[in-house]
Amino acid sequence: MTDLIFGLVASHGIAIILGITFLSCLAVPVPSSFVMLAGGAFVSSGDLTGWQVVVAAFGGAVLGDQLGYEFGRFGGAPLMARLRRSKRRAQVLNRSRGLIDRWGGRAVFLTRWAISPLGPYVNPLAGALGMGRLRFAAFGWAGEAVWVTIYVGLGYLFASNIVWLAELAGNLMGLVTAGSITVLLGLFLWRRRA
Amino acid sequence: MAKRLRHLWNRHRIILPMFAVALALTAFFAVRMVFFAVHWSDPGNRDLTIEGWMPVRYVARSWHVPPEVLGDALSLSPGDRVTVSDIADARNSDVARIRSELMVAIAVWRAEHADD
Repeated sequence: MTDLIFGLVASHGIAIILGITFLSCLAVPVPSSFVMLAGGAFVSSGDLTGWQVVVAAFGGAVLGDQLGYEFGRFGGAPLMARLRRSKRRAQVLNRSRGLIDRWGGRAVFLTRWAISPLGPYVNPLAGALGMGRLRFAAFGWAGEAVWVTIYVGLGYLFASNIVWLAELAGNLMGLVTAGSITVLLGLFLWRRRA
Repeated sequence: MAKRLRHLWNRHRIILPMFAVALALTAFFAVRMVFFAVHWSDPGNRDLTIEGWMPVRYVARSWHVPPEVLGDALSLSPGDRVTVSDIADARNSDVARIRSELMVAIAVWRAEHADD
């Protein structure tokens, strides 16, 4: 699997990097982290050009994010209108609106890189719940910049063994994501333990 | 404790199992992390076998030899991004043969530069 992905980057270069990061932000299960690691490693070996790899990865990611957001914003509007008809649901929506106002920026920023597997689901949610487009874009761009820098940078630094790095990074991402969900659910249960 | 757990179970039939699954997954990834650390701390497990997907210059990077050494060994023109499979296909050869040619070139270069 990793071999196949690395091979695609080796033969098709930045087009694959752009395509895969774009798709990954739309919840298509493609290994964008492997692609960026490979991109960084091939910059280090002289097979790809650094700024092109970074622009492709970043461009694909923010385009995918924005599309997911617009999808939630326009696709979600009728659904939201229907939900609002019930008073109780409207209350829940207003509360989640409050959460978005308070935590939305941080959530968007962190789900770009630290908990990136959740990113594709946050995008349409942010759009549907009415997070401002500019705010979403600002935190999103910042988060994707961190994400691209980490993965392309690690690939570049540890180029001589990206196979090892890919396994490690994949596992670490799983650990952080599962750990964050565990903590969130645990806090939820703890507050309702009485 | 048991009473609290039962209380939680009665009120959160969905969240509690989700929490249990998330906790199990966290433990799984944590154990795997330790396994990786042990496995890769052995330097013998760190060398990358030359595979078809690797561009030749990447092989050079991975094995810490100058790219020209491998390019010359396979008489490639500099600047091309060709993978080991590309070369094998172009020469009606296979990856194993190209790999051994590269390994010979690497061994020779390393022997010549053993003092560095």
